[in-house]
Amino acid sequence: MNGELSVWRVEWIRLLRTRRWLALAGVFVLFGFIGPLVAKYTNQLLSHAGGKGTPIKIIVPPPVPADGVTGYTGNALQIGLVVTLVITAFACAIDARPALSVFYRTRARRFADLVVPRFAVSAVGAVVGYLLGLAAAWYETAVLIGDPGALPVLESALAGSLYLVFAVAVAALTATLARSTVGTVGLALVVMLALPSVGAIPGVSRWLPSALAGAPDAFLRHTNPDHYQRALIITVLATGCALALAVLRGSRREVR
Amino acid sequence: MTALAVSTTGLVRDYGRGAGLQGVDLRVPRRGVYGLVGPNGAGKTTLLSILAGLRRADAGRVRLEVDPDRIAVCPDAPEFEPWLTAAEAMRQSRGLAARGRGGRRAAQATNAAQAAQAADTSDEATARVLAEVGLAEAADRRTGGFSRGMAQRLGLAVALALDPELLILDEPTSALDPAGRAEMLAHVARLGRDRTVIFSSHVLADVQRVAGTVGVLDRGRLLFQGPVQDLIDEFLQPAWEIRVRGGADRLCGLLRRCGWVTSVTELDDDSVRVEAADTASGERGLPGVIAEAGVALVALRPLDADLEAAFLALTGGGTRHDADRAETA
Repeated sequence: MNGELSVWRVEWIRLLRTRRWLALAGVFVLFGFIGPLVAKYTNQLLSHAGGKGTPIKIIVPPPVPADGVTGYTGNALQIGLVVTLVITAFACAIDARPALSVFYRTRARRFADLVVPRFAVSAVGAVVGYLLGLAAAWYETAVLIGDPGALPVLESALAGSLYLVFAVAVAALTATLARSTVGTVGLALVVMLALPSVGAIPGVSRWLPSALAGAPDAFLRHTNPDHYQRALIITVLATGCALALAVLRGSRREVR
Repeated sequence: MTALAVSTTGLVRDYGRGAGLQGVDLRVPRRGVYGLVGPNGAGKTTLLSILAGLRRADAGRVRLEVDPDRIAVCPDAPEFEPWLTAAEAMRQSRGLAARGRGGRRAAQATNAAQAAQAADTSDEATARVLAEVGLAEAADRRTGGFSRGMAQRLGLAVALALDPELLILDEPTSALDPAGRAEMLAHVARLGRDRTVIFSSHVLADVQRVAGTVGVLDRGRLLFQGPVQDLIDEFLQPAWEIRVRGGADRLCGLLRRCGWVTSVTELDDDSVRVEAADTASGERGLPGVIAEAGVALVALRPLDADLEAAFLALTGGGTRHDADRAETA
């Protein structure tokens, strides 16, 4: 046994012992299995939902492989995103408990030593969860509907992963602005929900990280897949900026 | 001149409406226990937070004559990650500090054997420090299940794990039972032999027991700073209660004729309260006057010669206290 517990090890222990990994993996893998099932049996589900006496008949086109995987990515980048924000907020809200904040801040010389491992481990947890779910969705889609092809799935993996990492960085930043964990989650949600609204301005949406939430659909259906290169680059830059701001803001903050 | 570990000059932190610090010139001698006392809202926590670098001052200067990496702080209600064990919290404390210092002992070791030796030493140190604070049995228990008293003990242990030159303890006995409090005070007194300890407490008897130097903070101002005995001598009129069997009025008459006696009050049941100009005159003069009066002495005891009485006299609390008593009566 080593005499010192590194900050990285502590973050892994946090993820494992608090069972937060289970929440992350669970939500993504669950949607990974549900998405293709819903795509495959939408017709049957709708016909049963209507009842025998209903005169209206809803006809849904037969499912294509893209439906199975986008059924997953749509949920993963919405509900999975919220779970990711909550888990990141719990890890990154260092000042939410003042006495614990005293413990950390009187030992770490740089605030970056505290926030970077929390950001990195939360991001890895979210990305691994997302990829596990995507793998499940891909497998099930291939079995039930047909193979959507490796390249669009890999592109969806990249876009979704970058979007989640960006969300983690946003939560790390809002943790240095809000005083509580709930406040951190709320503020991060406001930012993530405000981005698509900003994207309503003509010509802006392609530049925003929020465009990546819709990118898997375009990759899998082969509709304008080249439109997302700018959003990918901006997301990487915005993630770096959010993390740098979190470090700057956190190091200037006082303990209550 | 006494070497200082920490000093501040004109330290100001204004929270508005008189709250905060209003020009504090702190002088904490190197090695020994410095007791910081004051009523709620006096500015103790703000002052300690500024010394620890957790808050900023609006004006003034802090001068630390100790290695900034060897300052440890223990708040009054320490918190830890509830999913870590006590031993892991100790190792986490060391890990964070080692990272801050830019190196680890094990990492500095040139080979695996040296690294293993360094790790062994650390584990032994963890066990030893936990045993010192009475947490040997709880070393492998998660801190989430700790009582406040256990958390306070662990707070001291994780601070000691850093081998600090300056240890800042904010109300370290507030959640401990009488036995735990006595142990903690003995521990603090021991630590003061080779380290500088700043010890803040509401319990003035605790401060008097362990601190050599005391600072009295009230409404953001340092009203007194110096040896505990000086505070008592300066702000307390030394007083004694003499209990005799008959002849109390004769004794009072003789006492009133003594130049060093400032006040004589005859109490009920053949008791006399006498105040002297200074402690030495009273201690030398009283036996002679009692003998001269030829009264049978039942008891002679000094009154209120403690930090609490001096504190109340200094902050005006004594007047309030007396008024309260009068109202009650």
